[in-house]
Amino acid sequence: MITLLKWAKDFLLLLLISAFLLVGLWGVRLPFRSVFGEAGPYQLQAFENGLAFFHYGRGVTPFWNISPLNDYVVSEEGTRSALLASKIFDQKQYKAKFTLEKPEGIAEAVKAYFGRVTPWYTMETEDLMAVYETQKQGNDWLIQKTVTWKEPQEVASQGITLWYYGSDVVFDGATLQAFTQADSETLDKIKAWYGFAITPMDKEEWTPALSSGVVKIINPTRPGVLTVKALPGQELWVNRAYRLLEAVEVVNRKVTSLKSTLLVTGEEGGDI
Amino acid sequence: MIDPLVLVQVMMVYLYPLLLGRSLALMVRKGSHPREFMGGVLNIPGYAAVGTLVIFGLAMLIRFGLMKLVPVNFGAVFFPVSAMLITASIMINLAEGWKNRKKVTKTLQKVFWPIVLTVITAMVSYGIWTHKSPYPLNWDYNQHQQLVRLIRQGQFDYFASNLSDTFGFNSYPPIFHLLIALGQFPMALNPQYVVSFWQINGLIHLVTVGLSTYILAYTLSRHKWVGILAMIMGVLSFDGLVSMTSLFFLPQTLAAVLFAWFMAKILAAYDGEVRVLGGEWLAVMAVLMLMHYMVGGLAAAVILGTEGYRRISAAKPRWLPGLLVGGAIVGLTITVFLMSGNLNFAQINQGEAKEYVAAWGEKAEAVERTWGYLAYILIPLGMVYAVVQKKRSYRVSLLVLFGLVLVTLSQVPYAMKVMTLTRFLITTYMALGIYCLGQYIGNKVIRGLVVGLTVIVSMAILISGSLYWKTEIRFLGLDSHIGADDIAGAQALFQMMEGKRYLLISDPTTQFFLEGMSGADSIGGQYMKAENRQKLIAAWKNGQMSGLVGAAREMNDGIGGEVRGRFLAISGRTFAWLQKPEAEQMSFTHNLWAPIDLAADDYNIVHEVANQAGLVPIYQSKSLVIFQVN
Repeated sequence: MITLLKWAKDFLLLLLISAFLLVGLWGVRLPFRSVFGEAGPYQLQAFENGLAFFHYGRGVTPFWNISPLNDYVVSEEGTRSALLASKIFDQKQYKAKFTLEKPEGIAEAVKAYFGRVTPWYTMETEDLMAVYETQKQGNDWLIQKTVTWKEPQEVASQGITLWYYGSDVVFDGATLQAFTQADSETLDKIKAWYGFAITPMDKEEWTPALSSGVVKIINPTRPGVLTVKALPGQELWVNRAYRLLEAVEVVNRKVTSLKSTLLVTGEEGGDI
Repeated sequence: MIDPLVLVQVMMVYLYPLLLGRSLALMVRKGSHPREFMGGVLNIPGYAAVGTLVIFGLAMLIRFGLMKLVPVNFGAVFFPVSAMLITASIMINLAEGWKNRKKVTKTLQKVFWPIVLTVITAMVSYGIWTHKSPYPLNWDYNQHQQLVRLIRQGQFDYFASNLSDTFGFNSYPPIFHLLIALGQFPMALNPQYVVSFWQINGLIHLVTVGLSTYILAYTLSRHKWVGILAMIMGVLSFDGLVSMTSLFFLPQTLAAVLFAWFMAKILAAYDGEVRVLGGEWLAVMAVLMLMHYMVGGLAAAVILGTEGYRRISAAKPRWLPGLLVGGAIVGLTITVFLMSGNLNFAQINQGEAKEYVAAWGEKAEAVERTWGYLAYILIPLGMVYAVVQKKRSYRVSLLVLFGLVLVTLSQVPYAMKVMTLTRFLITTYMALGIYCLGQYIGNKVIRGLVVGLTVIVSMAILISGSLYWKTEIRFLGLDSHIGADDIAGAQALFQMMEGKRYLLISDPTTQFFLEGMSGADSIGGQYMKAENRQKLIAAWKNGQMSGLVGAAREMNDGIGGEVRGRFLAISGRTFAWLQKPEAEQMSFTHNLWAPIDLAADDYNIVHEVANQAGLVPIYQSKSLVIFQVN
């Protein structure tokens, strides 16, 4: 009986000390940045409006966004709808999750330190939920998007997109044909630094349909090359009106859930 | 991989003064030894302090005595004489150790397991910290290494600012640097060696932090369990805001280790376990002061106050101690009051100080990043335990803890540096907080579970804190201030210079780390003066690269002296610095913490610079280009 009481006392003290230690752990401050990964000189991180590749430490930098504000579905009638309409975004009628939050955020932070967690982004509106998960394979990032609607939808096609910057030089990865305007001085600099000659865009109104399925982006003010590759079943388009690279997939069915993946690679490139 | 030779050299930084001081003590203290608490390990700070003073005294004697009389090179005398002294001290210690081998064995048995546990915990902690970080994250080592290099080259002065303009403010004489210079002697200080040395000394420093924490907690409580718990929470934590105690080997953090260890001896003396000799008391205070005027000075004041009170408290008549202590407090208060109007703390260190006034909220955040809520929960429990014990040592330690916490919380610039002292008592009292309840656990397995849980919780907080701390330094798969290109560039500089003085002109950050690794003399590095910054920015913004090259030919540091040649380094950081707002360009604290690659736009500019007459490229990579300016 006495032994049992001693055990009970020890066990209660263990519980009490454990509770103190766990409350102590609860007080840890989580990192101010959400989980980030890297692709060459770029970093990938989630923000309020989606995921973005960018340069850390170079002051004001372009953000190459993968965002529900740009990703879309096309209905049977041909209407293109963004997953997150700008009006809903402006009025904040949605919920986004992309930062570490306690208590599970503590374990996530530990895993993130050892590269076991990659960036993610979740957005929910009245109609749908979009989840962006990421997976790293070498310098390749697979951005996997899952959209789940509360009501079934007739979807003709869907697009997962990457928003590029005004001063970017966007070109076909196979033919080196530019899709954006760039002056000869810029193209010369790119040739000197990266070692390849980009063919200037010949017609302003030209709308590219890519057969190679590989688009590259260079911003002359920032180091590195971003590459977007079409995956099987995807067509890669350059939408100059909205500065979007679009990986488009045909759906043509009634769905409550759709998946789509964008493959983006970041490389250093360049040499004196 | 740890290079065993470098590991030994890092350990020698500690062992040289320790052995020297101990051999002197052995020569002075002949005959029987008094009873020694913990096998005499509490004598270590005294030995180390005496040895350090001998080394410093020797340097001062050569520099301001011998060199005034005879034209000799400082290094040509200092290193051979030090080597002789140290060799003699090693022989004396070995001989004494052999003679008293039974006693030595007994001492080793007493401290074996605490040392083993501390080393293992430190290796786990440092393994976590250096994950993806193969190069030192101790930013300040660059300026310390440059001073060490100058000492190796035969230069020495009481004021560091007379040797290197990276030291715009004299916070200490180069006593810390003398110890490192002896440790690194006679290795060639090439970038690979320097980087390796500072990476390893982080680990050894962490071990000393762990040992001093254990000794303080054990001496106070007389319970190994408390010592182990305090060591775990001390080693598996990083106070990453300003103080940087556990993981960075710096003058103030070395002073803190000495303080904590000697504080243990004073507390043991309060309980009548040991006798503090007047000589060691003075030596420790002198070394603390010389190691770091602010942190070491405060530590010395605490040591003076606590040991001084212990000595006078036994005095007769009985009202005398109260009068002296009361008088000291009133005197100090009046002095601070009278001086406060005349002290402009913000201007300390060329205005850098004003960046280091942290609000209470920031300080609370720093504590929570280091220990979560553990400090808030466990310290009060530890205090309750201490008060109940009714021992003088507990009362004194509580007073010291209160005093240091108050200074840490004050709105004086650099007050958070005091955390480097406070943290030893914080971890001790956190351990007492656990022990307060844990002492009633009889079952050893359950006690083990408490220790295990403490390890897991501390590790989780350390990892989360490390993730936060490293958040701005990711570069090509590493979390680092420098990349392989930076080391290769520094190596190119090192080979070109062949030990001669060359000036290095670049943006402040690039200068700073290239100077530390290679020895090329920067024009101020991170602490580049406003005038030089403006000149360099104007030369860049002018757009004429001939102007930039002209500036590189004209700019000078504040030290003067013969210059063999000049280098101009341009990196991705240079362009990032030029794109920053003016306030940040001029600031000492807004550095570019991680390497940055060059971009296509930068190429044109670098190409234009390369075409200027008299410029010879000596190193080029995707992030860094270095020219020799003829």
